[in-house]
Amino acid sequence: MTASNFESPYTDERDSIPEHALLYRRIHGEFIDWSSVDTGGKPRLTGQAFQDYSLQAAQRLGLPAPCMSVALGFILEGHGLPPEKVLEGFDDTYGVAVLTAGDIRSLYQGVMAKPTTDEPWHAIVFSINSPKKNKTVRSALAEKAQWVHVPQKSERQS
Amino acid sequence: MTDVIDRFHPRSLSDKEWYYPRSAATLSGEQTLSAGAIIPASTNYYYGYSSTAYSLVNVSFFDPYENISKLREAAAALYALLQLPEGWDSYGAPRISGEAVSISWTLLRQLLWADFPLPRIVPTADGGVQLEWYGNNIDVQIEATSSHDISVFYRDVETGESWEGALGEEPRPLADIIRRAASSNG
Repeated sequence: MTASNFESPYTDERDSIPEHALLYRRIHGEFIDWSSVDTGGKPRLTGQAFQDYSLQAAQRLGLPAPCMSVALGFILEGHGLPPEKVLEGFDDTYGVAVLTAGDIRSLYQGVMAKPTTDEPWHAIVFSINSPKKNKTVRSALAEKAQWVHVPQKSERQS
Repeated sequence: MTDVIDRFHPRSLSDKEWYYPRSAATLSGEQTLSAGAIIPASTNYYYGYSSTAYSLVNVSFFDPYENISKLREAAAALYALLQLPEGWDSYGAPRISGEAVSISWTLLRQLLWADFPLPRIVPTADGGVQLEWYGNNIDVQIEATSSHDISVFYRDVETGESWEGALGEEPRPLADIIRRAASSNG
């Protein structure tokens, strides 16, 4: 399927998720380039941190097409919860980064709420004009993302 | 076409066996890895004996101790990826496939024997392996998911130039781009 005739099964919820809405993404330590640091001394996020679900994982979750999970900041806030809530149940080698809805829309991505019983703040980010995110988009997302919580290095990454 | 030295019957190389390896690593199926796409044409190579059938050896830069050390490091990194459990990324990623590791090992052997710096070796959410170099504002990635799916991405942050596609179809020599990205890493 080419980009020109692709129609995403998802809907970009521009009315309910405004441009300034914060989207939190849990980040595995494997997706961090620990050898490069930004001006604030934090390690560089790589595009790998913004991969869509594998096809098998998407199917298991009942998702009709590739996308990536995020947490909607305003829903977390409404529940009185910090962004670090998305790290609950995970060890300290996971971190959290944040993007805005405007950031992702500038890269032809859409965002749609997909609440679950356990995670009412859950949402998905998907490609509007292609079946899944390519590496150019993923790298651009990594550049726009900001750290909220930098994880610890795992033994393998030390 | 390429003669592979039988690992059970190692022997000396004759003069005729010295040649430039345009098609050095042939994969099963549709795709052929072109070592010429990665390794500069200005150097000489020969096939040497190795325990895994054959290796490309860059005699111009060959430093056995340094290269063996890098190969060991690469092998350890690949082995560690094979130990990752299903769902390792917290988003349901499958385990890293043996095929992706095997292909990555073939690529790494060629790259490291040819004195390219050791890349970051990272897992992908599709069960593949990605080799990455980043430096001088240049991002280079080679992703192996299966023998039919080996892709390249590079991007120069300063100029905005970027390219993404199948290995071997790069519009510019990949070796040059990797060396530029890696030159800041020492």
